[in-house]
Amino acid sequence: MSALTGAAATQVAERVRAETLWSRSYRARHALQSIGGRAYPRIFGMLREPSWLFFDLVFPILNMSSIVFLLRSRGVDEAWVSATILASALLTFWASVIWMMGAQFHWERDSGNLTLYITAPVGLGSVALGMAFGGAVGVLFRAAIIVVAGALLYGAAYTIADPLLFGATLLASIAAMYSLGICLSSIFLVSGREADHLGGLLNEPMQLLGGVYAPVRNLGAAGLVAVGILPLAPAMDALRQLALPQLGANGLLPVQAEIGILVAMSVVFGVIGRFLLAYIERVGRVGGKLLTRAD
Amino acid sequence: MVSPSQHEPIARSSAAVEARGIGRVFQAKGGPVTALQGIDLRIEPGELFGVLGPNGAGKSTLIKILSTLLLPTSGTASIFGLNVATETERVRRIMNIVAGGDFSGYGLLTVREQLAMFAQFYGMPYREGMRRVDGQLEAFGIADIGDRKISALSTGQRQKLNFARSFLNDPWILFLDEPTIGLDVSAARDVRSRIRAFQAEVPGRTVLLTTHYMAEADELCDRIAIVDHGRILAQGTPAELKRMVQREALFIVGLDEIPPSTPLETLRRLPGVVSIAVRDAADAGNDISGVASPMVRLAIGLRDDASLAGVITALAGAGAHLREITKSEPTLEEVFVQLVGRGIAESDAEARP
Amino acid sequence: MQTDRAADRSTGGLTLREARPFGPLRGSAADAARSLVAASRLAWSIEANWTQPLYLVVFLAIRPLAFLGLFLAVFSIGGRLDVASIGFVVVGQAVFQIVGAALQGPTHALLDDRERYRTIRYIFATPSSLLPVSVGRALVKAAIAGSSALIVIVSGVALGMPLRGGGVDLPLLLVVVPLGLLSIVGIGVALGAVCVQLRNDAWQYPEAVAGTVFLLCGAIFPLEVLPGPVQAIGAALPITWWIEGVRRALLGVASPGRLGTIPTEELVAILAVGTVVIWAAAPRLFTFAINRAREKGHLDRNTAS
Repeated sequence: MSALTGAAATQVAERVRAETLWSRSYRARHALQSIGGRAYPRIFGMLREPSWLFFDLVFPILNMSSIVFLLRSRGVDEAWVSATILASALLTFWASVIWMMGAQFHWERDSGNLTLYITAPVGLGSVALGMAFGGAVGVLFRAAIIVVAGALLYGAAYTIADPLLFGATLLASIAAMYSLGICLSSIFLVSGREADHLGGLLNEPMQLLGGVYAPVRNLGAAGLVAVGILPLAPAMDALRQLALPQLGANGLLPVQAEIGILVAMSVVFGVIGRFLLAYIERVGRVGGKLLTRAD
Repeated sequence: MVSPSQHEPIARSSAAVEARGIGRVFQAKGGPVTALQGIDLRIEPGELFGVLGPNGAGKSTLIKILSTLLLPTSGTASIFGLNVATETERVRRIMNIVAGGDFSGYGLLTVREQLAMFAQFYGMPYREGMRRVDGQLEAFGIADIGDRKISALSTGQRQKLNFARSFLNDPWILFLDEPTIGLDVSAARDVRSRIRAFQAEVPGRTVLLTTHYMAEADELCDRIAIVDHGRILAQGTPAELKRMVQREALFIVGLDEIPPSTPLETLRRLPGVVSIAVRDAADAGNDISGVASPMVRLAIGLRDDASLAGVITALAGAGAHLREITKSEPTLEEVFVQLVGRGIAESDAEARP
Repeated sequence: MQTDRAADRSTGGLTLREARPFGPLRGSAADAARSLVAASRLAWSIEANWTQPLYLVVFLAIRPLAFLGLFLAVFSIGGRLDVASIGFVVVGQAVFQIVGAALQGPTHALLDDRERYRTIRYIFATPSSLLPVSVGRALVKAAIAGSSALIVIVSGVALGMPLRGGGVDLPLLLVVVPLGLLSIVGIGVALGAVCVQLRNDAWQYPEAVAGTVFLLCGAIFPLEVLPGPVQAIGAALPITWWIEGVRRALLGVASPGRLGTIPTEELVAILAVGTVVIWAAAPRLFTFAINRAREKGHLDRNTAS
């Protein structure tokens, strides 16, 4: 038996406890490292399966093509075709928010990864931020390919007068969507067997409310509400105004106001998301079912 | 890593694990289910402590509570004096966990990348993390598959990867929940030998192992608690537990035959002899005297080891040819049966819905 | 031989022959029928029991209605949202609810059984084929999607979609719906068996196929909008004729374009021939693919990691 007792045990216990006292700067560095650690599989791991990239592009391009042919069958202004391609690019982020953020912890629980995250000295917030960062970087690449594909297949063209403002709007849009994704990750965890269906409900209904293919302005009061709570709505409305000025009259609010809304959403959803993750962890430890897979 | 200016405000336990009155009740559809009740446990730094019990006994629930995954509904528990319910962040900095049959990980990552990712989560600087990753790959003999994707690993390789991950942060306490389940004999042996080496490297490293493999518990553990229906039925070293079912020294004595001049009744009257019986009755045939058997084994219960001399002298004096003498130890299985009232396999079958 | 073997297998005094609910059916036909029923029951439990009935109805309504809303919103961009267009889109959308479910259902069922529930090896080890199991799962998914289709059509009527004068053409509907359903289930089960060969992408192929079919089958716009060679592919799909048949039965008018010029009898014949061709090929493809999967060890592996 190698058990320590008496003074030796006390000495070891004190040493162990001392090792658990991490300074603030150490914790900050650890959080950043954890974000990078979790982002890594999203950015580099996905490159290992080119077929995944293929499917990530095929679905949006098929959806986009349906809308494009529908628009052409109606003989509307070709600028709407370009808007559709922009919307498809934005929707790749939204799909990533639903499935790679919202549903991710739900899947991680089933695979056993969530248990490892919980028992590691890493906060779920850092893991979620890593997922968001890695997801956004990976999807940015796909979104760019979709825009290029749209230009080549359907002749989409854009007139971006202020690239910086466009970039800032895109960044704010992505931040707001992924912040919402952090909130969704907790909600999916609670939803159990209904998680897959919840993902479905966040797809087409939110595309409709978000005014993705047709202006949110056409939705009237519902559109105004959507702009206030659903990042897709101000994001698409602002990006469409900035990239396709000829459709500017269809905008609901001035671009600057919509950027402001997106920034506010990023902060508010971020704070709520962090609170929800802490709450879920607490509830999971009390109830015993949320954090570990059913054996 | 450590901020020396911070002080410990309260007197804390020096035990690696201290549990007092731990209970856990789950709310289920059919009503509350008690998984643990009144668990008192003290594990000293450096011990390898086993929790032995059938499926559904509460072993995993105990590990979940101690590893901060679950809160107890009653009682308190601490790891090196840190409360598992309230000081979770600190506890997680010095512990790690491995569950048997665990297929966690990202299939797209290579073994090395997966470990590097966890090194970041465990708070190691990058270079130090990579150094430890390579060290663990070597230690577990999986350096050759370092660049293989997780999805391409066999069960044994995945479990070795799990162990390598759990050793990355040099945990002071390692929770192993049925760690060798599903592994073949060779892989299980490798894992057990690594656990022992891990403990030997640094005094004070503690391991809490749950298992329902009796031989594994017997081989590895310094002390064992036998649990059933959420309660600890007994705890002690394997030898102490075995002594609970064996209050007398039991020897197996092999003879060519039982000398006709010294029947069993005569031997029973010798000083210190508690019981005596033919053990291998099949070999001895139907005749209790055992004349027809090529070798007869007698099971002789003695008050103490010293009484054996008198028995041997009597047998030799009567002309019996001694062929073997072995001291018989009870197995943990026998301890389990005595404490629980049924075998572990039987208990597992009962636990299945 | 089959009968003797069945009679020999007794379970505690009750022979399996006695336990079979399909008296006239014997041997593999009885096995297949029983598997179909068991798979359908299982599929119903999986697909319908995941939530409260109220939530299920809400879920079955919201997503297809949102989908419909999306297309109607796009229609409204031109500012010419007429009732004929609503009817065209509503029927296309409604039928495609069933198409999507039946196309994806068998693949998801096979992969779920392999990776999530880990039961495929046990099902495979039974005397019956995986084919009726897959068909049963697909039919239930299609039936549940049928309720979504009904909701879409009722909503279309509420939005002013004009129904056929003199009422819905029930005989036509009763011919084209089963034929269309059979054809799509046939494609779905064959697709499922093919997808079992694949690794990580297996879940996604049926969705990609469904998306492609959606684009080609004239569900929301006439085939003429597509480039010439692509139109030919669309016209070769039985789903295209199924949707057109349902449009004629419900709306009483043919679609604009060349498809609309085909007489209804001819349309039904084309759909029937297509269905026969599919069912001549699908079981063979299914058996070939499953056997190949067995040879390569794909029936008993987990790709989701």
